Amino acid sequence: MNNRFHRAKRELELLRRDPILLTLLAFIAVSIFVFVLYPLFEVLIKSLQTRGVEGLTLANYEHFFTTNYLRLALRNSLAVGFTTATISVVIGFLAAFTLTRTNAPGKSIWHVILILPVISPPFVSAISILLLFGFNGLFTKQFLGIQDFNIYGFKGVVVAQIFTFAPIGYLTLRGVLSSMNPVLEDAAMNVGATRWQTFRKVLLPLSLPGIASAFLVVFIESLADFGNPLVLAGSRFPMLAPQAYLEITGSFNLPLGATLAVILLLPSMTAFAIQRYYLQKRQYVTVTGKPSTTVSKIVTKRMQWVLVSILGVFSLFIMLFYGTILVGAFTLVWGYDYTFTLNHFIYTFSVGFEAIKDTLIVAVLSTPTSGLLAMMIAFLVVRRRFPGKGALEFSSLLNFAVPGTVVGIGYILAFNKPPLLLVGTLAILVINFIFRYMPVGIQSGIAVLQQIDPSIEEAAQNLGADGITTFRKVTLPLISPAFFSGLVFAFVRAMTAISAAIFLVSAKWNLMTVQILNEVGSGRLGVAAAYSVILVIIVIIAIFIIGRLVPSGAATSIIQVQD
Amino acid sequence: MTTKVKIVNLTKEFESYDQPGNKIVAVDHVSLEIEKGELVTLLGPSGCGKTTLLRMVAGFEDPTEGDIFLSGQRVNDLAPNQRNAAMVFQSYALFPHLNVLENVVFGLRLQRLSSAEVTKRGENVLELVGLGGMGERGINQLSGGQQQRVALARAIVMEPEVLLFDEPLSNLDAKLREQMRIEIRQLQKRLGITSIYVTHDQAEGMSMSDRIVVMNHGRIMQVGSPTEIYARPRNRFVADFIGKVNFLRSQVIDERRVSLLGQTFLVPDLDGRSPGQEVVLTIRPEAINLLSSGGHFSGKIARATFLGGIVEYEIYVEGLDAMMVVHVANPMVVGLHYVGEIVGLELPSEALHALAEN
Repeated sequence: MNNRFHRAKRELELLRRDPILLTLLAFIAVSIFVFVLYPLFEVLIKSLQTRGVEGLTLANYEHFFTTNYLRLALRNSLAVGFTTATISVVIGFLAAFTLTRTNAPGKSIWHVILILPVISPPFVSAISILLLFGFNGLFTKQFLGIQDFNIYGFKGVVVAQIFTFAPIGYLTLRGVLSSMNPVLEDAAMNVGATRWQTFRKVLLPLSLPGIASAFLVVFIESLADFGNPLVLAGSRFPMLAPQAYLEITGSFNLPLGATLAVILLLPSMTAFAIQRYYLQKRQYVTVTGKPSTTVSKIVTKRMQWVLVSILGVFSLFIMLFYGTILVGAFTLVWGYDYTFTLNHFIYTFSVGFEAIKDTLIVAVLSTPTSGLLAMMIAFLVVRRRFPGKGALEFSSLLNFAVPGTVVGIGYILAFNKPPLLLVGTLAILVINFIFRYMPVGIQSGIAVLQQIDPSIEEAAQNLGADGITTFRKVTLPLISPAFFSGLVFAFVRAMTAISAAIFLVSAKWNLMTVQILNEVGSGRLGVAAAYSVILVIIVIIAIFIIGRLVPSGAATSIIQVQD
Repeated sequence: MTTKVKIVNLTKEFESYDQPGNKIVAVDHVSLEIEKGELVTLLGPSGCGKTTLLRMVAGFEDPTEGDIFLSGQRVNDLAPNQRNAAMVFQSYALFPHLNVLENVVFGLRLQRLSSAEVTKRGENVLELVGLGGMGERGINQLSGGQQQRVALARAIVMEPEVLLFDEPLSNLDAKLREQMRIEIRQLQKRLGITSIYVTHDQAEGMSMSDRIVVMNHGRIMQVGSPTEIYARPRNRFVADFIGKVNFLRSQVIDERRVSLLGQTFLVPDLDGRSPGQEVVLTIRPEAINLLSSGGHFSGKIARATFLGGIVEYEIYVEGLDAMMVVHVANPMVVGLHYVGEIVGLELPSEALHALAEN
């Protein structure tokens, strides 16, 4: 114990030789404490407070577990989570396998279609499903004439979530399958294994940690999903995230809302912990160096066509959903009057332009800050020693596991009183986005930094550069691929965020995503569709611009650590 | 004060990975002084602490105990970028996103110098290392040897108080290594820069240094010029580490003579030992004369290895616990002995050396 204290003291002393870096570190530590940990703490405390009772009690939790409706919300959320995760992982695996291990034609097209849901607001599927299968839906009302097909509830939410989150499963599994050495298949078949046996006994077991990882990621996303359930769950199918929102904004019952948030948090944190600390260690990387995509020998021509067909159907539906949104944006009154019109777009660019402007301001302010902060934290974590480093790393990654709803509630609880009265301002939105979307940047920054020979940065210091100068002139140029992906991720998320944002908007600052939900609630599906289209276009343009501004670092190829 | 580098009682301890709570002493209370213009080599096997010592001088490791003085100033608390101790790294550590010239002048650009001045100095030093006119090239277009010179140029252009070398030639092939040794030494002498050079290659150490510091297990085994280290090693480790050696256990007769296998030998450096004491003598393989008969002892050739310029014989001598290793030069002219042949060995007195520590 004494030894640790001694060492901590010395580490701080050493850090003090570089005062700018030390100040930066202190600033980051304080920021993370105030904007990541403190709000969560507030939620926890609030959940232990009840109206009319002094001090902390478990009354809210008692109330939760004795109320049918609320218990049902928990069961529904978990059921939807498991179902979505299972089906998404299956689809994701098939898609990843087809696109990395077969000779399927047009792979890049499939890939783009599959990641389309990732760059749109997460509830676009929900809106499309409403447009197609709702009470006034194209299929249900126009084509099939069914009057009382109820898309709401379990099936609606699950279908919407599958189309929203299967692409994430696909992206995760893509990486896993690419890093599998094809030589292993040869080895298996060489000793007499059939194709199916090779798949079952070699490929599948090796992919298992990756599959489990993807499952947990989708599960966490599903639990935290707010938009889809809000649109498609309906009053007879309560779910935790929208229910927490309704308790706060509808019934003004902050303690109960906070309680629901905590209960929502538990499965997420558990899944995150399992994924990070147990599964990460068991990833099997059997290919050293850059992963290559080679054709698997266990896939026959016929099998390939089956896989491509499945992929094709799935992609067709994605295209259908986006096509529907596009058409809906130009349709006068969906379900009744299908005349072409530009009214909805005119509306968004005139009366509704505030929302677009505000969203862009928030995104443009938070994205570069988030990206830069992420790179600096990655640099500090990988290259410097200081007391509390583990805690810093953990806290900065915490937002991966915390559902947006919980963060949103935490922010309105923490910042609605002086000295940090931020509720209703631009600042609270920008700050929320910065800290919420840092983790991905930090993760990829750490991954890239670990591959760079540390003596390059030592050389810079040896020649007279202090910490900041080294970071600016040497580190940052070398990790620009990670910086780029951090920026893209932060921007996309800022544009498509809803779960936390919905608590933080105000009369003065509105976001497009919130506006879209409002329009859906008011029945103005055309306007909602128009906003969605504009949003996707903005994201695509932004990705293009960021790609131009940030060099993707061809220099990184020769800096790999020598062993 | 011409002492450029003074190291006093320097110690570095690490926590053991597999047994936390146990400490690994990488550098064990080392003291050393290096004069201006000297090239001093830290020589020793892997894990002896030489690189850790160098890194402490550079400021990349924090000493557990002890002090480091550069030009009379205590630098323990100075950050690596405040020490003016430019280093040539083992992996070169060139900046991949900058061209050759920008790599070389990176440190200069951080100082308040005019751009013209910086470029001039950069180009001058590139000429000095034989890369004149290559400033515009990308570093991934250079060969290993050229990259090495860029790393050297980058350090030299800083005109440092002390120049540090961390096994800079270990990534080069043998021929290039020999060539670069000579070039680096010539450059260092010409510029008169005080240098600390770390290597495990004895040929490098012997050919380049003013003095050698032989290290093992974090401690200094001996400090001396190459000839001193070779001809008068203090202990078994140093004797064995440099070149090949024969160890002979003998008994002291008086202050000048020892008894070995029943024969008396004059040993020049017995250094006041009392009669009856055991003393270990060393003699180098090339110093032993091989005769067809006679000499001090007779022995039987157990192995003969032809190495081109020399033949190495391993000879069994009755009464000695290890085989004698003898090198004979110019074997093609002088002739070869065959395995099993009985020969005579003559040990000249001036080639015998008594180890200071048994």
